[in-house]
Amino acid sequence: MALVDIYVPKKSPLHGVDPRVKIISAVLLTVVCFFITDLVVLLSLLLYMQILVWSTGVNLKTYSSSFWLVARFSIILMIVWPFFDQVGQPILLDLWIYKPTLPAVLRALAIAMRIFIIASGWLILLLTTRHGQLVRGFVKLGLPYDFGISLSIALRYLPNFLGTIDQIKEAQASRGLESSRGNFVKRARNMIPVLIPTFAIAFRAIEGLSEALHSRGYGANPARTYYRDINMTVYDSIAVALIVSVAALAVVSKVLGIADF
Amino acid sequence: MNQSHVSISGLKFSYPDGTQAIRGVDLEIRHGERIGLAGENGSGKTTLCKHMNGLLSPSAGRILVDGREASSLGASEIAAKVGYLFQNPDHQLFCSTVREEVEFGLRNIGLGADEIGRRVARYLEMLGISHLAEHPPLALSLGLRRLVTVASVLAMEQELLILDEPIAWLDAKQKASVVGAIRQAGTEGRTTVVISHNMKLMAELTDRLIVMTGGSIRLDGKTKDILSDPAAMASVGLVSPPVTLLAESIKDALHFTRRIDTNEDFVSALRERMPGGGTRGTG
Repeated sequence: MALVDIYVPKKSPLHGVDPRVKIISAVLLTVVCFFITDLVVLLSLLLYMQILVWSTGVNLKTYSSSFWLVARFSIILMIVWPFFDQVGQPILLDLWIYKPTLPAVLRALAIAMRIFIIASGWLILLLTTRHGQLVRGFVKLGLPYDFGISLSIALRYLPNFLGTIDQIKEAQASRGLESSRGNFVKRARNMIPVLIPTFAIAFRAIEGLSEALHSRGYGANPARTYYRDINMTVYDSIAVALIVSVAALAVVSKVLGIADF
Repeated sequence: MNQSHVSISGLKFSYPDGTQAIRGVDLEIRHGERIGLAGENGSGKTTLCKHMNGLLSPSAGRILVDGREASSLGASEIAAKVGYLFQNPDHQLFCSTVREEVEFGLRNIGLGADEIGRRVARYLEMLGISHLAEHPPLALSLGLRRLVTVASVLAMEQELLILDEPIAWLDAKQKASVVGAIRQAGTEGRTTVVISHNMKLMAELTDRLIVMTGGSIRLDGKTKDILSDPAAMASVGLVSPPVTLLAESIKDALHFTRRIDTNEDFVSALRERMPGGGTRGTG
């Protein structure tokens, strides 16, 4: 739930930015991140992104679980990384096939920081943009309306869906199902009484929703009109121009070897 | 009947997002009582009941079921003591046949094959769905899926039954089956707690009514006394059954003296006002 249902209405500058600017920025940030290898630059960018997240004015409690999820993923990645990357010296540990070297650990650290930076960028987008505006932003950027409405439905229903899973777990626990006991195989088997109702509910919801959409004329008229449209201000246009320029400059200078970061 | 079945003292509960759902509840439920739990949406009814079967642990206070802390009991132990019928039948159905669905809980609490067979047959019969025993429950209509979940909960024969909106989505015949089965459970001495917005159902199935507002108990008394007092009901955002409101509107003209919350009461009150005790024309 924490990953998607996190829009918080505030009056921060980032809330006022056109969704297209935020989408373009998040995409460019994702691309540029992979060109940066210098740990100091990555760390600086990470800190900068945290300042931006803080500037949204949203309480840390709202998104801490999202960050915690990313942190867990990053920690697992850093532990697993040395299995596949054993290039360089010195070897920090020698445990049979697990031989993490200092350069490999630093590379893993760089990857973890990139993940955090990218997650922060997309988090800002989700924290400061209403679902409707987000979808409208994607559609205005040229993505098909079908994609937009699919994204909107996914964002709208995922929190409900995760809540439903909790309720199913409670219903089965009331009938004596102990899903958190036993070995891995038993636990996996105990998930069946949770998974089957989950899928059954999901399929019923899909069927009901598609009928409801159809009955309200979805797809009947290809030339849709919009009640609430989004409009770029001069500031939004300047912001896009700046962000695109900086990102292009960074990538080009890195590829051509003009700058090393 | 006099022994304490559920004992709740100083219960408080807040959800992780900070919402305070229960703000200090003290409640004693005796063995065999037929309780109704009413209140507006968000008043804390379901949250309170989820404490009784250990799904939630109190933020403060205690909740004892048969003298033992509910949250300290294991899943199969609490499932053998407390039955919980959830509002949405789709939250529990997963087996390939109705029979297996009813058997699932019985196996979890470790019953033998003979006893399982006896109970499955009894409760499918009681709810009028014996003919569906080998059908896949997920392919049934919503009302029938509801009956399967009622059968699967009642079959566990726990001493305490919590039933959240037990007649939702049922047609008249199905409602009668479920009401009959719940009455039967009460007759057998099982404690029943019915959560509902349906005051007619409360009048039919409960003797004691508890009304919650804002996470606290506002009214606790005899169902008949509370339901037949439209002013008290209105003060907690509820409406008396239609028959009570009808009786209230004509009571001065007909000089009704008795409390009325069921059709039977209304008919009796009318008969009392008729010349000859209303015996004419009934045969």
